[in-house]
Amino acid sequence: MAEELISKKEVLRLTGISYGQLYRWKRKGLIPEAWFIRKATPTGQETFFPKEKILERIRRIQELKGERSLDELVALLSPEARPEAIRWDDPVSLPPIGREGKSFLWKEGGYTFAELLALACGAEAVRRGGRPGEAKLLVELLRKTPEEVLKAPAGLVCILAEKEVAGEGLSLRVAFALLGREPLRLDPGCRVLLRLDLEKLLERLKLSLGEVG
Amino acid sequence: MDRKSISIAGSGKVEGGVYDRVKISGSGKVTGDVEAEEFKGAGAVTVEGSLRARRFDVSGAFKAEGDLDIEEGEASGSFKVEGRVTARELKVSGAAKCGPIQGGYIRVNGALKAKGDIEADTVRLSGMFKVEGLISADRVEIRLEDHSKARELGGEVIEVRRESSWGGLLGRLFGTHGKGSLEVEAVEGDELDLEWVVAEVVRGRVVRIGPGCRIGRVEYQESLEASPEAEVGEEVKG
Repeated sequence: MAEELISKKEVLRLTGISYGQLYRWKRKGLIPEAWFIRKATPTGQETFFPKEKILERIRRIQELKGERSLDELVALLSPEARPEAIRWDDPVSLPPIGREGKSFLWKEGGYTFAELLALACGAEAVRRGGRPGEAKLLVELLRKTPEEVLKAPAGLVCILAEKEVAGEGLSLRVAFALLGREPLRLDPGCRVLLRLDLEKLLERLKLSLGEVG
Repeated sequence: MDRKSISIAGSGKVEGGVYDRVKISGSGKVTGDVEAEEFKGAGAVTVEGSLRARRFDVSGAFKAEGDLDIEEGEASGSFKVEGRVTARELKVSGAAKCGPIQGGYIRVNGALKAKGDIEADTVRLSGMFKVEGLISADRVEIRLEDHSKARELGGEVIEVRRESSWGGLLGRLFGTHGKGSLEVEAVEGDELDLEWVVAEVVRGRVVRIGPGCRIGRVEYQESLEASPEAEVGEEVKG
């Protein structure tokens, strides 16, 4: 599915920000480099953005910048900034995890960022109607995600899928979890139960860490 | 941990590592990555790796084969960094060649070739330059002494002028005084004051297009002032 694009000029017009602000936020890492899509148009070189993402990001920055420094904002909003040495004791207090994540907890406290993300994925899967046993696959898969992967989350998705295997009078339904970057392809025999946009989830998690903490 | 200091006078080699102070005068080589509170070089200094320092001062011929990451520093003469340059404050005079530059205050006086973007709070360039990427800063100040090129300029306040005083270093040395111009695909900013810029498109809030400019299309929000000695293809408000 192609994302709807918006021109830089239109972004400035809709949000009221200046060129200076946009370039500054880009420099500070608040707006990911990958969102700047340069195109040659009949009226000269122009930059476009994924519409939904950029407008949402700018709204968040505008909302938060009164109370927080730009550097703090980077840590909060920008998934490619390093997830500081987070050790969180009470994951259920974070809205992206919440009560739905409670059954996935496996230790008293000291959850790392990757582990929190794993819990958030599991909880989100449950909220979207996934079976807890299957949602747990996501948690198991993601809790071991290497840091490098979390630093470059653009296009990262995790998928919960199932496949029917039949033969010898036996029919088996196998569920599995998958982590990768779009475009991901599965063989036609698979049925995707759930697809989670990790980039979005990461951002929500960071934001909630900032709000609670 | 106790940090050693090391000093070379004459000719020598230093192993990479973590030091308090590294001082090289004459001809010196650092084999491998080096980290130091203070790095000083005079003469021919080569770092066969990346250099990280709080304070950095070199004159003569400096070369780093990896990245350069410093708090503040000055370089004069020939300055080459094959990787990326990160500096809170960096002043270079002479001939610089490097990868992308990122920092707070970046000033280059002389000739600069950068493979990548230059992004800082303030960027001041005078002389001539070829920048393969974007030059972006809250404040971009450019003084042109010879034909220069960048892909794009973007920021808050952007000022491009031809060196008008007695001519800078290059002008005096090579007789290029009065030939300064800048070729760029696009310039975007809130306040633009341009001279001798050749661009496909210029977009800004308050725009002044001065003498010597040839601009395909100007898009402005508040005001546009174009010199009779400039060529502007299209003017669009909004």
